[in-house]
Amino acid sequence: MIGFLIRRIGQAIIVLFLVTVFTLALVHLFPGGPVRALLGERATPFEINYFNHLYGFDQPFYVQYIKWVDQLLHGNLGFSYHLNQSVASLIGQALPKTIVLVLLGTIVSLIFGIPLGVYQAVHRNTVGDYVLTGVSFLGYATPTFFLGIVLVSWFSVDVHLFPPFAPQSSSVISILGQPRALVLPVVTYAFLLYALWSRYMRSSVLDNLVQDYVRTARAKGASERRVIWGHVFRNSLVSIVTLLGLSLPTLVAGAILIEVVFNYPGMGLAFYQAALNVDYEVLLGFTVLATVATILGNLLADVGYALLDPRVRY
Amino acid sequence: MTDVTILSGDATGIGLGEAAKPRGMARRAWEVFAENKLALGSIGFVIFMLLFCFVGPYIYNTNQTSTDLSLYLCHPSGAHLLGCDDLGYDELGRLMVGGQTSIEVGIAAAVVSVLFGTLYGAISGFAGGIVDAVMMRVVDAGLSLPSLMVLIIASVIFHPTKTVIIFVIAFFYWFGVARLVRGETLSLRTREYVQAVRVIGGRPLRSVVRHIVPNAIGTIIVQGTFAVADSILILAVLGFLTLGVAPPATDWGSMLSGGLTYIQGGNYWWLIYPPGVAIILTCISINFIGDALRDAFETRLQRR
Amino acid sequence: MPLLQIEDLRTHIQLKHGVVRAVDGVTLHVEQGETLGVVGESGCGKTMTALSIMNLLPGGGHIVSGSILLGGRDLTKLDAEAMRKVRGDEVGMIFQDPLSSLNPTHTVGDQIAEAVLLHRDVTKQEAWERAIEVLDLVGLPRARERAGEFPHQFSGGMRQRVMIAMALACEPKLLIADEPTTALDVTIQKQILELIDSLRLRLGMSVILVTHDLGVIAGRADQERAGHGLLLGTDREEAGVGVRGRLAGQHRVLRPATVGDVPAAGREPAALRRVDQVRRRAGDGVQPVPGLR
Repeated sequence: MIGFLIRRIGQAIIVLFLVTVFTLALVHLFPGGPVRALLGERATPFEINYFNHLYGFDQPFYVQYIKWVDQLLHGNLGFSYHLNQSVASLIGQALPKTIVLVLLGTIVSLIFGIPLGVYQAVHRNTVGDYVLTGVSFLGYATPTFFLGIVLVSWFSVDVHLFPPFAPQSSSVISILGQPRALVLPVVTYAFLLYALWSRYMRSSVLDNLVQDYVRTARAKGASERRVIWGHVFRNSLVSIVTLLGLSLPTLVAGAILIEVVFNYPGMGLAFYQAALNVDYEVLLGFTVLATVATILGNLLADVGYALLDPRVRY
Repeated sequence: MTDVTILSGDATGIGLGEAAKPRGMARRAWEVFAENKLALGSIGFVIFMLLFCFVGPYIYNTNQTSTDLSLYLCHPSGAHLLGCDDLGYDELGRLMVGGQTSIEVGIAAAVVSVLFGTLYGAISGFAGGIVDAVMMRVVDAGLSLPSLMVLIIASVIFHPTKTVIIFVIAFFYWFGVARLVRGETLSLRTREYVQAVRVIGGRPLRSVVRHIVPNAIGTIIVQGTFAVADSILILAVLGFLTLGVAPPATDWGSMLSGGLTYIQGGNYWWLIYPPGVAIILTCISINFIGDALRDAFETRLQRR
Repeated sequence: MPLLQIEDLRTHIQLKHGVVRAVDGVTLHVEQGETLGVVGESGCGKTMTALSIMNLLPGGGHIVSGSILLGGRDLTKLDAEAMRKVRGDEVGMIFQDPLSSLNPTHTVGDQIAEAVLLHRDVTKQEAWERAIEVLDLVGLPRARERAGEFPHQFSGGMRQRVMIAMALACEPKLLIADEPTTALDVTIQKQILELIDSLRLRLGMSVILVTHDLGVIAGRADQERAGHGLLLGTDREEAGVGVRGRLAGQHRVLRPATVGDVPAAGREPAALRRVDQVRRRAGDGVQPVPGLR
């Protein structure tokens, strides 16, 4: 187990290195260099050179890379000139809101997805199964932003049930205090995830139901209920745990599309606005954070898998 | 049905027969595919969509290059079957033109990413050892990138022409393809019939061409099909974020961004549903086709 | 009165393209404390017969007619809940591949304890103790320690012992062993068969031994009580397969081309090969898989 972890962490570090190099290189491709983005279209060559020198952008790439990594390791994620605040503080404001959205959405989708997935597997090829499969399919095939727009159109414009925009305040508490405004964004987010969980659960349970050990359990005299919940369910959860780990990055990358549609002040919207403003420090900082989250998520998924499946552990 | 006996490896000893007869293979795949009514319907829909987008404008001629603000958000009528958008363009015509872009970009991005990913994955899998390890680390890194974020950054950096977007999308997609193909190559490499080629003195290249590629091609084709649907979706996302192709060109996603803006003012349903439904139906159809293809190729694989 | 009496059992499997008559008129009996060997080629219906006793048929399978009397009670007439009580308690069953037949995420001790808890009103601790006791009985060394390990941590032979322990946890009157040694090495095979036999004697239970390997039945030498063999799927005239060894019994054929008992030691196994042609008769229900009755 330890050896396994060490190897995985080693791989993760290599991947992190490659990604950071790539991201920094990408930013350097900004038309005219990062400084031009700061100074605008009408900057003179003199100004550009001056600022390039001031900020060290004329140094060779590897020097800049080392300086940047050093900066990162000291917790400095950069400074946004557009917003006049440090990237870290921007994250501090936006991240909790995205976490609220993603967490709520994930919980809702799991509450529906897992039991219904099991139900579908146990009652496969019945009318209920077909109907639910259709629903899942719809969730899977509908682009999130389209779903968001449609929901706003139905429940906000046509019927004034929910507000069209997500809660706008800057503190998490007051966001939570406007549950009605959270409904549509959360539902939109949850719908796609629901389709994923129920689909995986269904196929996982089906795979397990035909395993020999199920027959043995029945031969022992276990009731069908015990077979499903005591034996099959646990073994079926493994794939879900892996998926959950892999969805960790969304806590950071945010549901960019949903936040744009509902104007929700989370990480996604902040990133999008930074992109439109070419606020490259924000873009860099966010991307690195999201990548770290992805790598961590992968690691957690592997660890979770090992915990659940004793065959990997021993 | 002679291939059945050939495919049971022990019957022929070293199983050399598996240098698959392409025609027999294709015929079997087609048989299974044809059984799937959903897939056939989907092909029909895709054909319809292609005609709609590429031939449609000749039948239903509208002005898609110059704006006419007097027609701002006009309602559906005899002159404009699906109304107009905020720049006075005929919406139905826009749907066709947008479809052209979406489909072209979708197919092109899929082709590029699958070609490159396949080559990369096959080389990596076949080479093995340290070369494989290094190449796969790169793929891991690519897969760890928060794709939407980097897509957005890339779209901001590079001026969004159609060609550029094709490569931007392909850049993301090829990582997944490479990993898949590499996996296939790894498993195929150890099959008896590939080693048998070495026994009779064939060169590695022969193995790759005559044996690995025909067997991996099923996976590649299936992957390519899904890639088209995914690419159309990615382009739609970019378009929605107004980071897609520049006007007067458009795509289905860009059309939807207009829908979002005006949704408050009234029920401009023709701005929302046509492009959205077009995306959904097209992607679903392609997915059905991909699923059916996968079944078709899998039955052949299962007979091993 | 025999412990188990099966009379003209017919089990059908409903497939998409038709019906397969998996078991087509089997009659057999098992006396108290004896071993019945059920031999036959793959696909002749012997496993299906065993599964029919337990009513553990695969999807689409159901008993069409016939009776299965266990201690005078007809198992085919029991409802689901009553049958569930019989499984594991009065009748135990072990299967061919112990690795896939054991739940990989539960410890060995838990799986055996579960068998106990399903049928006896005891505490978890007591069930666990019983699990260790029965692991000991099947000859697993260091039973107390190993009870907390997972199936994949055991060797093939040990795993089969675990399965046997699980089947015996509630001291059933009948043990059905479906190809218990097919997945094991030859040397381990002998051990397992001897284990089953010694347990039979110790616990006074009956055993049905299903196998396609004549050697498994034939090798049952030096038994205290001889059982008889049941050869499925042969034609009456051809059913003269002799099993070397000390199996006694009557040659009792009930229907042509269905079932025949194996006679005492006598004719050569070569006769078995001629049976193939007889069985592949056309028109006998649907034949999607060659050889399946």
